[in-house]
Amino acid sequence: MELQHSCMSDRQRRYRKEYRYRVAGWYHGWLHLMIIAMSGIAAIYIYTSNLVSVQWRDWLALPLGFLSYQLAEYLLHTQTMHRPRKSPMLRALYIRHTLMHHQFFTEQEMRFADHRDWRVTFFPPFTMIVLTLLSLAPSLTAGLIISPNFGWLLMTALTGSYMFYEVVHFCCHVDDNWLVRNLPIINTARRHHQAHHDQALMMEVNMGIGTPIFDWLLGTSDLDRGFFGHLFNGYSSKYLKKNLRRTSRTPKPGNVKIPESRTDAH
Amino acid sequence: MKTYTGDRTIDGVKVHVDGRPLPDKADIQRYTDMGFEWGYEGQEPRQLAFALLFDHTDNAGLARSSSEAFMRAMVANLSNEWHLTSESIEEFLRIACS
Repeated sequence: MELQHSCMSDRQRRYRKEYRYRVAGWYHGWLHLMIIAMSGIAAIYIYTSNLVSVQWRDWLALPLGFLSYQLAEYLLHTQTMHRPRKSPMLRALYIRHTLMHHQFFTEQEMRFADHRDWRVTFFPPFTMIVLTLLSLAPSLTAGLIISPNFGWLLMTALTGSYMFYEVVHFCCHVDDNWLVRNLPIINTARRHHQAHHDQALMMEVNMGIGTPIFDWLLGTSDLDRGFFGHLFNGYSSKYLKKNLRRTSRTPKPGNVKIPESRTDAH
Repeated sequence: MKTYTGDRTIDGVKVHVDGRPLPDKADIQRYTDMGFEWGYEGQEPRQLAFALLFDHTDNAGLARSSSEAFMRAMVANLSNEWHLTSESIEEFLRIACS
């Protein structure tokens, strides 16, 4: 099963065919989606069921959790999904992302063909368990220091942010349509993420997926505009940076500029 | 003239010289345990820079001293799949040493 009308390269076409060949025969995208959705909804239901007499300060856990998640997602993407690491778990993330997701979807073809391609789009189902375990320590600490409500709302925000990520990322890989083209945040994410899938930019640019907040803050965005401009940029290419490093298949020593201070090599 | 190629495949990162795998030469100079990568500035691209320079010059001292500049100028600018010749490495060394 492949898209009928696509301008993907032969290399990408071959890669997608090979990837699909290797995906387990029992894999079912709708089941994958249901597991993520049901476990997320159940978790949020449990967390919010424990709320009693919520005070105004408790609600601060929601923006705090959302922003913390955005930062964690940005760092995970920048530091492990595009950089090989020694830990087998982190290395698996790099392989799954740089060597699979970015080869399967490129700037030439961002769409999946059917639900079996969701295997390379969603995180594995056990991600919800890992996220819950990682959320426990900060939420428990906040629950003891500030209030139990704050702790439960922090758990809610972190789980909700992960589900938000999955929805936004999924929307980045669906066919273009009126809804995704006009929905704020989603249209911004689609352009932002497609630029990230440009193989000449993918190792350094547009690392935020759910939102471009930390790309804006830390200078890794391909846009040259302010905070709200970043959030609501939509499909516009008016503010693209002109001086981004674009990699090349055959860089020429005479044509490349040596940047001033972008190395972490010693 | 040698030809160097690199690609990110489903089975891992592959770098070849004239069709044979390029050794990382970590026994001579180790910048990382993670093997090769490219398209950014860091330790894995520097290991690749060192391996390419060493393969071309067979001179560990020169490869070591030029590896950071070569990494920043060339390896960090390599795309997802790439193709270099010993001619372009030679050209880099000529520019870097002039």
